[in-house]
Amino acid sequence: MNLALGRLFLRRALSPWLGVCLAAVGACLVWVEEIPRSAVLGLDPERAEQVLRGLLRGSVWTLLPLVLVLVSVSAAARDPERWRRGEGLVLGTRRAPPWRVATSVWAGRTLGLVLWTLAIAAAGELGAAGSAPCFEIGPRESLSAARPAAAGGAFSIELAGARDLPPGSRARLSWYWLGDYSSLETVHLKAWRTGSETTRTRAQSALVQHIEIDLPTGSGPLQLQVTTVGAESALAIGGLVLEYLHPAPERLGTWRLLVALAWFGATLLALAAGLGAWISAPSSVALLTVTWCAAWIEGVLEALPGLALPRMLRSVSAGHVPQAEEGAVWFVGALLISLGLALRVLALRRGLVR
Amino acid sequence: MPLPVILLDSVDRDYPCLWGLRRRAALTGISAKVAPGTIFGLLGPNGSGKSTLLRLLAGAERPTRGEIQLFGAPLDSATRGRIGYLPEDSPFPAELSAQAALELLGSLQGMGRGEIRRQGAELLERVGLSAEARTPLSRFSRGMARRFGLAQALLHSPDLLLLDEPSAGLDAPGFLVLGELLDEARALGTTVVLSSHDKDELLLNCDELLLLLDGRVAARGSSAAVLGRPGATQLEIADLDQVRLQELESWVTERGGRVVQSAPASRSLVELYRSEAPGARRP
Repeated sequence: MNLALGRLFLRRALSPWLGVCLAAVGACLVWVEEIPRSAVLGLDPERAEQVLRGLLRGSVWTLLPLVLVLVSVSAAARDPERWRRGEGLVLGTRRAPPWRVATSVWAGRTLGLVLWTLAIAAAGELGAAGSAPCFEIGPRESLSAARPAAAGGAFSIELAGARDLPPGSRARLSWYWLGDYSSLETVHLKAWRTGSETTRTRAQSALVQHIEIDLPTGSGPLQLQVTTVGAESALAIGGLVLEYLHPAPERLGTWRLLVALAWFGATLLALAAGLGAWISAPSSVALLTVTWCAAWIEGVLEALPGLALPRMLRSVSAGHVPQAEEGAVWFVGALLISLGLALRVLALRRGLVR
Repeated sequence: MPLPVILLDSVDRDYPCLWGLRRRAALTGISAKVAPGTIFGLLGPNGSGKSTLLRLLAGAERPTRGEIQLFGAPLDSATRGRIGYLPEDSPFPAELSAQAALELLGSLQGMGRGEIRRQGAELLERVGLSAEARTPLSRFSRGMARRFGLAQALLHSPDLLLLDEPSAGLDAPGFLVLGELLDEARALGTTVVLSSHDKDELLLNCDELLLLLDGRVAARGSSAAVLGRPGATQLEIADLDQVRLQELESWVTERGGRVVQSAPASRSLVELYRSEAPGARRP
């Protein structure tokens, strides 16, 4: 890598105009999205503060990174055009091989994006002004097919895998109703471990379609019992998903988002520069936007970097710590970055003309 | 016979046009050999292919057909390290200062930091930009940018210097600096290829000239052979009054000759600035 070339593109990535633009968007966010304390009803004051902090983090992490990624990716896609218009005559006719040029340019732009992301994280944390222990969303478990759930009915689930959970862990059960559930009033959840007398119970309105419960400690298999209360109706429950929640510091969510966003940005920057060397800058930005939007909407290609960001943002907004991205995301990201850089190197080898 | 520094063998360069349906030829069938230490001039009107040929030699583009060899080998990373190139429009990173830009360009040539600083400071001094070393290139005038371009092209002491319209935008002192640098390059045995669309003084100093018209070689040879008018001689006469001059013209006419032009000689701008500079001796 060539440090001086990397520094040049870092400097370009840290354009003061982008800073002004982000600051303006941030100021608008504070003005438009100010949430009154009275809006959080029915929660104890400590949890209400946590939810408010989560909402602020969520809004900071939604709009500012969107502006940042769009502006940075557009700039990266325009780099090859600037190169063709003349800069390549002085930077591309030197001894440094094309792969070194391509990686230096990408590294400079990526470092710039990471620094902006850190600034956004700092702004989010300053705005949230606080941190408290909260829950990190752990592994998800799909609990097979639909079960009868008529009012007054109950079913049990045994979870053999939930033996070694850290103390203070919770479970979050979510589902959807199959049939008319307007007559249902509440859902009761009871948790205990086989061979232990300690039980935990929790009741939730049937409209909410998810329920969280503190899990009892112990080494026996975990048992959950779901009971529905209300008027009689023919009803089934489907899409049962169990997520384990482990105690974690609240700010861990910000770090997880930061890392996910940086990896997403690094992937897009490499692809934008690679595609921009072969097609026009607007076309390459449009192609990337359409691909990622389609993947987000359809929920496919989950190993694409950035695909988990909406889910992570929802978790942060709810005052939880999102799960870290899976290993496949890192692998696919590395492949896409290599592809983008290879496209750029190939174009550099062919010379200035497209 | 020494190995030619540049060997062009039937080089063509086409560009796609009309969305790739047709191709426009910028260079056709260019063949040439340039011996080490030669000052080689490219002459031709705008659009004749001079800049394209220099871009091919610098490795910014590849020929569509034909072969280019520099220092006896195809252009590769090691060869690029022996070339100094001044492009036509000075497209240097405008946000960098002259010093930072030299550091960047030198590092891309594989030079060490200390070497870049030492050579850079010396070259900026030579081209009259040492006071502007920390000024961003975006604030440079066209002439200053050309001077900076000369400094960056010479930074790594290249064996082959490619200068695209080096005198364009230079004022007379800048032109003087350029002349000195070329003299120095000649003394060091550096091969220089320079282009111009104008018959400027630089081309008169070239060992060899190549005239390009519509991307093809129209003429080649010494500057006297390419630029000279057959059968005509240029005389510059000093210290002769008007009566004597008329007698001289009559004498030429009586012997079958013809005086094509007779006008008071004017000084070049370089001579004018030199003579008018404070402390200079008046001729």
